[in-house]
Amino acid sequence: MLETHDLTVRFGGHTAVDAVSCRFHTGELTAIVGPNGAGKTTFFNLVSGQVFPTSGRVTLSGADISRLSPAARTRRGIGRGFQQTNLFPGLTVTENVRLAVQARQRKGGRLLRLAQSDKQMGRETDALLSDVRLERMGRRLAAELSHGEQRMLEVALLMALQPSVYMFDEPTAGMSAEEAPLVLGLIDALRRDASKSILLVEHKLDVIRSLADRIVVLHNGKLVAQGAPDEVMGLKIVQDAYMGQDLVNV
Amino acid sequence: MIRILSGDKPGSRFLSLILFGVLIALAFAPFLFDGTRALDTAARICILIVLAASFDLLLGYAGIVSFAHTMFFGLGAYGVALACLNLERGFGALAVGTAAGAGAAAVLALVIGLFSLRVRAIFFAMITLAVASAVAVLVSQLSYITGGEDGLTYRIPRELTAAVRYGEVPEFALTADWVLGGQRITGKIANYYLVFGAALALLLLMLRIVNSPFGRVLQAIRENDYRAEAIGYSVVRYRIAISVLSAVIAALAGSLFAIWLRYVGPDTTLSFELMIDILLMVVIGGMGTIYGAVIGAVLLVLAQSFLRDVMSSAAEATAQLPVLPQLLDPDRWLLWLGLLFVLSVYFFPTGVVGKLRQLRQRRTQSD
Ligand SMILES: Nc1ncnc2c1ncn2[C@@H]1O[C@H](COP(=O)(O)OP(=O)(O)OP(=O)(O)O)[C@@H](O)[C@H]1O
Ligand SMILES: [Mg+2]
Repeated sequence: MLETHDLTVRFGGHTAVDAVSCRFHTGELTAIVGPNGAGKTTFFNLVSGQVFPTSGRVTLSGADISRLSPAARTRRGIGRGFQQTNLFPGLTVTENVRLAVQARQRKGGRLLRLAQSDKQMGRETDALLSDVRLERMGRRLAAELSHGEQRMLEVALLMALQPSVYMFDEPTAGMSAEEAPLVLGLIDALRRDASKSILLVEHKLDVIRSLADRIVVLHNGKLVAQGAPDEVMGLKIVQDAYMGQDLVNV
Repeated sequence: MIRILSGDKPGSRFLSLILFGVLIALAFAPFLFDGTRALDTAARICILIVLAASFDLLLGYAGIVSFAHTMFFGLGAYGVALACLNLERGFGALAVGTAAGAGAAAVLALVIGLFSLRVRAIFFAMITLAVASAVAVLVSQLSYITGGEDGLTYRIPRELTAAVRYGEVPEFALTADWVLGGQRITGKIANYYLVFGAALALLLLMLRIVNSPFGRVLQAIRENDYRAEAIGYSVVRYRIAISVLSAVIAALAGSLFAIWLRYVGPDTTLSFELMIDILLMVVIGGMGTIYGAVIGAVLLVLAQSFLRDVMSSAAEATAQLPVLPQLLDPDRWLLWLGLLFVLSVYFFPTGVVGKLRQLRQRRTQSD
């Protein structure tokens, strides 16, 4: 189980995440919602280690991980996808995915073997590429892909890590009408695995309704509501946020 | 063949041809070219190829800028020199000196890396500059150990000097007056093959490293260190590892240089000019390709050795014209080298290797 305890970060005078305490159980998909600038991505950064908290802690199965580097957290099972495309642009699509597979298998220290000689790794990479329908793009550079394809590759990198906690930050944003359902299907399949917890930042209400076991609402960095989808979706504050209206005095 | 190259094909037929030509020329240099100067140039090229390629590991593959590369080269060279001066003459002294130089380079690179690579890559560049300058000063001050500015001369095993004769190459008449062979095989030639063989082995080792899983991680870090860290690679550890590895290979190149020259001095091993030369070799040849180091080293050494000759004959040929003879004065060779450098970076920002690969890609795409 992943937990945050009074997690807080301030940038200058601005408190981007404000005392958020929250639990993410295994076997659950938690949707994290909130208007733009609410602090969702910053919350992810705190959990996966890209940003260190001003105060508060993150624990995974009871162990405090808030001082660990991002790499160390990933090795402990926190897998992080990014909202902004964040790939290895000058490497091929296959190399991008293989690097993630190789990271999970802890084979990055091998100096004298050939990277492409590991057949098992090659098969796994190919399978991941075909999961996101990029099997024919393997030899292209990541930078040459369309925006939607880059988003698919982003998802493949996360899937390759096989973490115990998956963190998707608006995975379908910028995808075409054909691409988005594919990714949502992959997430849905993960959801059936009782040993995983999934955190999903998503704006589309129908997606949240069909996938989420639980919803956490962030606003101005604060956790303002959480609970089962039916309960939370009925709250005025959530409806207001999704009608694009200004939220007053929460 | 491809396996020896670790599956890293040159990527252009023209480039393969050039590389093959360089390999043949260096492999048979003692028999193809006359005179000690030519052999000396060939040995220098072998050593600089290794030195430049080891710098490419840092700059081209890991995206790390270091100014201490010649310092590690110098450590290897001084290691051999001091061992030869203080130990019994023989191969044992060479081995001890080489190992000590490489060990010292590894420790120093590790310490520098631990202190500076944790912070930011640019900080590493500044620290290496400071440490390299300090070491250069130290070497010239501690003259009772290092020989100061004069450097050190010492004796290497007789088997590697011109004093020993192993025999002659059998003569082989192609036509009545075109005869190959007949050269004396001296210890100097054995020395050359020690340099050539070690350089070739180190180059192939580096090709293997950059095409290994480890090498891919380096490229990932160069492309996007933030994401490399996020998928679970401890970027700092990889950066430290490659800077140690690259320092050790530079030190080994330095040891070869010391064995070849039988002299070390601050000018030939530690100087800032040499550092700039290495940088030029890697950039002109093409960063992040290893083969670029080969092309760059050959081009630069040939330019430095023969540009003056070419210029003095050009100056003579244009003696009647205004201005040109002054511009072509051999003393201005550095100016022309600088100009060539600026032009080559402007027209081939990815280096010679990058340009050749690009040309070939364009051709296959238009097919
Ligand atoms: N490194 C930083 N330095 C300063 N301010 C930051 C930093 N990161 C985020 N912020 C600020 O924190 C606030 C929350 O940003 P964040 O990106 O977490 O929002 P979000 O909920 O992910 O929004 P969106 O829906 O647009 O992705 C914003 O006001 C942002 O400007
Ligand atoms: Mg965001």
